[in-house]
Amino acid sequence: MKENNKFSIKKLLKTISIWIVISVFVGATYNFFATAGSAVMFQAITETSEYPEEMVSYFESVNDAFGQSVETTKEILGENFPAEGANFVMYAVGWPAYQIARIYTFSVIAGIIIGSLVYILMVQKATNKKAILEVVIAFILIAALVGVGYLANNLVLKAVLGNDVVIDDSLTFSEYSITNWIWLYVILAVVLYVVNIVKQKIITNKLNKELNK
Amino acid sequence: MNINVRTNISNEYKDVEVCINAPERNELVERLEKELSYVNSETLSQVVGIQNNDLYIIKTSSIIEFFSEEKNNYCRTKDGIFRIKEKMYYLEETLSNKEFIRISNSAIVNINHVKCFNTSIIGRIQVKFKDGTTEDVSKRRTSEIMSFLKGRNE
Repeated sequence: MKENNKFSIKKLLKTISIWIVISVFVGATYNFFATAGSAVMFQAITETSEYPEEMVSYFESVNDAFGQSVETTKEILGENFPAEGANFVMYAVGWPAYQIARIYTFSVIAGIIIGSLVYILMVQKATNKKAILEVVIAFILIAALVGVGYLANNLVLKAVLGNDVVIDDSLTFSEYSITNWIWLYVILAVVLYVVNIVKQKIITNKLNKELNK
Repeated sequence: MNINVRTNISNEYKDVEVCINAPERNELVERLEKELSYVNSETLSQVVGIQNNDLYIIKTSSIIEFFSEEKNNYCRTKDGIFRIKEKMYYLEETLSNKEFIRISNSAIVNINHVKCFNTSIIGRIQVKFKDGTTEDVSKRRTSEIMSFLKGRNE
């Protein structure tokens, strides 16, 4: 009889924003626990003048690995290339920054996906056909967004390295891999669908129980 | 069963009083109580419905649901759909709160015509009426519907 399922861009953006915030929080918390060990190690190194034997042997293994990496770099780029500096930047600065950026990218895209699906399947309550169509359209838009992210990432890399350099795909964030997102999207859609159905079935059963009393 | 109606008008009565005398509690007694409770609580017992420019007086107890569509309000009975002039908020306030419950922004249903509640394939809760039709339930109103049903059973 009635149409209570009109698409509301305001509600969609609100739902997506909420889920981006939640997702980024979860990502940042994961990042905290993933780097907590290194943070403690940093504090330990800066706060003491004496190191236990285990730490010394750990530093020696890091030294060896670093030396090996420097040698490999020199083999590729020549003896005159400042391989120590490049490796230092890569490990000490680049890697943590890369990790932060990719976890943030992942969290934002995951937030957009979850927010869109929650809106379509749980908030809007569209009709069956409309909901399926919206799930497909949302996926196309998200895939386009990921594609734009990939292109933007490559453009920035080209700007840094110069236009003559061929960009290897392995340099680009793995977060821009469409295949991974297809799987995540499908899994999330199924999970949210099942959660919603179960939740509504429970409420329906309670209502029927009261109705038939 | 015949009903004997006796009306006593006298100065000794301060209020209008209706007393039902019967040998046992049966369907007729319950119906009388129900009808009298409508009069007593000043609930809306009938509406004027418009169909093909004809006006019909419709008893609210025969209405399956009230709904709004494209700025107009309608009521549906087993005889068809009638346009009404009453607003949804007015209907919500004046209809019997033992019989009618608002299930969404645009629908008020008569619980006596409800067969059961269903979940659609996409996870929407729906009211299934005894005539086989359905109406969507707003997620925000499920707790109100639950309280209504509980209150009805008390």
